[in-house]
Amino acid sequence: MQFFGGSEISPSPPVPTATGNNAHMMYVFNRNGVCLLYKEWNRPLHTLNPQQDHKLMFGLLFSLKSLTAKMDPINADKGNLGVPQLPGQGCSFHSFRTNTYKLSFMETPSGIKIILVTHPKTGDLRESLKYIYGLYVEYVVKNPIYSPGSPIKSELFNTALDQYDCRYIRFWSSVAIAPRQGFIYRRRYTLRAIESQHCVFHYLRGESSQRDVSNCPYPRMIFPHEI
Amino acid sequence: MAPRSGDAIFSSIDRVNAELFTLTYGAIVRQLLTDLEEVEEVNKQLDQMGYNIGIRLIDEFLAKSGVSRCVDFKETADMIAKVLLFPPMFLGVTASVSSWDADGTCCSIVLEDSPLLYYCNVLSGFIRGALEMVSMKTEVTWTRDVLRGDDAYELQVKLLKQVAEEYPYKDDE
Repeated sequence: MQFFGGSEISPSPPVPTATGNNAHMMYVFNRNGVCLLYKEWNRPLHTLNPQQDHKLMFGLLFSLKSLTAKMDPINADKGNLGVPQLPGQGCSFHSFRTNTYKLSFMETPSGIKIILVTHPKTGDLRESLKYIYGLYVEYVVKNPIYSPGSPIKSELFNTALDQYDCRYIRFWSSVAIAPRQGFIYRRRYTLRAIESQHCVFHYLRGESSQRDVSNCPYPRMIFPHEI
Repeated sequence: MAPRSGDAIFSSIDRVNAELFTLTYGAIVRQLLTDLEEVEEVNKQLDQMGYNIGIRLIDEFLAKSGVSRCVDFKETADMIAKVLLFPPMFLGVTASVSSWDADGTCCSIVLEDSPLLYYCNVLSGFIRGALEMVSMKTEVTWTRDVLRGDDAYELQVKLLKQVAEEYPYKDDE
């Protein structure tokens, strides 16, 4: 049974139109893994219940951050893999792309993590994530009724997010990833690249016959100046 | 994106009249004194209030200033003194960092004048709260206080430990 979908050609995503939303989902986590906000604009497929979904997402990000920090080609000081890090320490990844969606991530030194899942051809969303962080500060942090660490129920924040999002284009996406057992993809979705601050990890799975035991994917690191 | 200077940030946020702020703060302290009667209790309350403010305001500071990460305590303390307290970012107080101890875990912040006048425990709670949200557990105490006859306000900020981010879920769940 093949886990990594290399042989099956996935259907290409429909061409985005000029109106509607580009973002499919958005998560906001705090440093303790509590999902402060989950917003969904377009998600046809739900594979897990919300709690499992949030845990999965948080676990995935935790692992990816750890990975990019340890594989950082520029920073000399790296701990051992698996050792917890201070938020903001080390080179953090800011997005990864598969053939059907792109996940953009931002973490602040105070541990607030903002995640946006969008169309794979979306550009760099770091400025957008910073803007959303600004919205969070305005509508959530400064709200005296909101207690830090609890899920966000602010109507104003939701409205502001919807309004901000209308600039993008509508599309759909879905994800099923197990963080601890390595990446197991549904057969149609293949990882393409993980972008961090200092480099991009490209992922390519070679074609081979099913009997080839040494068939293993190889990551190739590409530095920003090579692009 | 390079962090914006204090001036740029100050011009982008709404400002309150300093006297209004001082009078309001004075009114809060007075009410606390009436309710609690004991100075120690009042100071504890002020510290708690400052802490609650600090844990929220750190996000605003991070959003507005775009600072990504202070790697060590020294940088953080400099950031507090220069950007947070020094005009024109938040409080409009003239502050300077001094007296670093040998291993760089303890420093003093001297404030020349403070809009909070006496009963400045809010400030110490504020610094403690803000630093805790960036995973630094600190202890903040007042070493010099004009109320007690010294010439300036001096805060001592001592780093207890840096708390790394742990994976919050248990593996068997």
